[in-house]
Amino acid sequence: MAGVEYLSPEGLRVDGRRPPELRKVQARLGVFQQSDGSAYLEHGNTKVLATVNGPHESTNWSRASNDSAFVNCQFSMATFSTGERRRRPKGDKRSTEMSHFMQDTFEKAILTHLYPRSQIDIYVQILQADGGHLAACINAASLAVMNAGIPMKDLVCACSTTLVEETAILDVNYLEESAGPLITMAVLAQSGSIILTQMERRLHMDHLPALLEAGAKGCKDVSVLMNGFLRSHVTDQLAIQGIPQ
Amino acid sequence: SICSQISQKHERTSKTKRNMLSDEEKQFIVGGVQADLRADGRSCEDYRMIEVECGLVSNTNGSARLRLGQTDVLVGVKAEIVQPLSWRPAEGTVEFFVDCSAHANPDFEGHGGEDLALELANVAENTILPGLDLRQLCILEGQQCWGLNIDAVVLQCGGNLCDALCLAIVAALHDARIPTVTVSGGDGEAIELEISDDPYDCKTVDISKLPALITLHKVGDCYLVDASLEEEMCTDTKMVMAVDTCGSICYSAKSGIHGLETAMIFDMFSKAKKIGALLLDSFVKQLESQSSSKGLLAATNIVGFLR
Repeated sequence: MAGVEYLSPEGLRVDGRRPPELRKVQARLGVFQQSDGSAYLEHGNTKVLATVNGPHESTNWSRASNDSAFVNCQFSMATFSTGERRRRPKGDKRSTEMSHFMQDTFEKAILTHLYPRSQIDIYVQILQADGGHLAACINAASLAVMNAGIPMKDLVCACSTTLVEETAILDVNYLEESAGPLITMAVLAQSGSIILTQMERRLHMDHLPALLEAGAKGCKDVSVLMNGFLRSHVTDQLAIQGIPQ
Repeated sequence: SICSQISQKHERTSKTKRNMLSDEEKQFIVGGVQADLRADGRSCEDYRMIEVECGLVSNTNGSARLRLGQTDVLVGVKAEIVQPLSWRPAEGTVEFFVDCSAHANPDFEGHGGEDLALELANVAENTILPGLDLRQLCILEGQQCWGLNIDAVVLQCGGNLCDALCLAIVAALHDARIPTVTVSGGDGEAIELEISDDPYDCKTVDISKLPALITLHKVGDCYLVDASLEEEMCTDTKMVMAVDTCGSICYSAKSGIHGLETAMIFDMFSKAKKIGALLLDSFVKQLESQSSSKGLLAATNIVGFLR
């Protein structure tokens, strides 16, 4: 979009944030009672729902493995989630690609060797789309997997970054997504090891280290927030059950 | 009903075994219903608690989330300027779309939920469309009109999907705000449409004639309203009726394998009229009190999925 000032002379972005600031992240675990685990997460105006079922008996025998569980992900966007109405919530190339990214990410993070010949389903749906979709979905799915009690190596935290006027900005919204190359990174919270990096558009090699560093910092911030959500959820559950802490 | 049909079909391949009831459980539920005491303590004419919240999705012109017991439906209404149908040049268009998400049932993954979704969309269209005054959506006769896209997402299925869906659509339409359009130009000059930028300069959709859908399930000699998922698995005949505030029946359909006596059908009609009028009345009153109490602090009061 020509003419949009992504970074003002004072160093403020279109929504008033500074480059390393994340949007307001809010979450709730255990949204649905019928599934094994569920979570709702907001990154500003991007709202995502994630549901996890499993581990359960594998229904797809061709993909079942004798030594590990198979992680089945589905990504979909509600038809009213984007500015222009979408025709189909899922099944298009983009959704399939996102599903594969999530599957790759969670297959590395979940301790799948504990559940051979079984299947873990992760369903993610975007209710309102305002940029940073893959990152928000990974975060929501991570919380949902925690809510389901499925053991993971570590919490998976994701963040989206882009480059605007030689400055790396974190947690991009819809307007900023078209500003430059979009990188989504997912890391394991404590160790900081990167398990997913996905980039779109063009980026000069010289800028890559700065972007990766900024992304890692953003994921660290997200991990602090997610830990906070988990703790407050557990505290609430203990209080509901009347167990003194 | 619909959910139990799917679970019976996929009994061996179903991903979740949670939707299966033993015969003893079915006997227990049926016996309780005969004594007017259902598994959760309701009588045959009671609805579960309904929670509704509007204005959740800001990308839409109107949205609502409705929870009926464990059933959870989210509806979004988007309006765009389209060409009217050639045989209805002075009216707007409305399209219904339902997405049975995999959150509700893992069997709905991929294309699994499309049959149910189509059925629900048809029921919603037959119920809601006759109650809308489409001439309100006309901008320029024969050329431009507002086209409403009513999209529903079924998030959780806890029984009685049809009722929840139609109530959620009523709530979303109540919340819908359509921007005012001024037409300039005319003969000779190019016609220009100017859509107002002011968020408060908009018109609402008239929901006074919209009906509520009541589903009555036949259990032995009795019938119950608002069946939960377990109750739906014990019954195989149901009657769906749309009732509006004046007490007229707008739509009705019977489905299931057993027949119904004429006397029972008349009884069901009168019961549905009574319940429907009460339900719709209190529902619309609740919607109006919610929207009037929000006022200028609308955005800050929205709770959504966070509670």
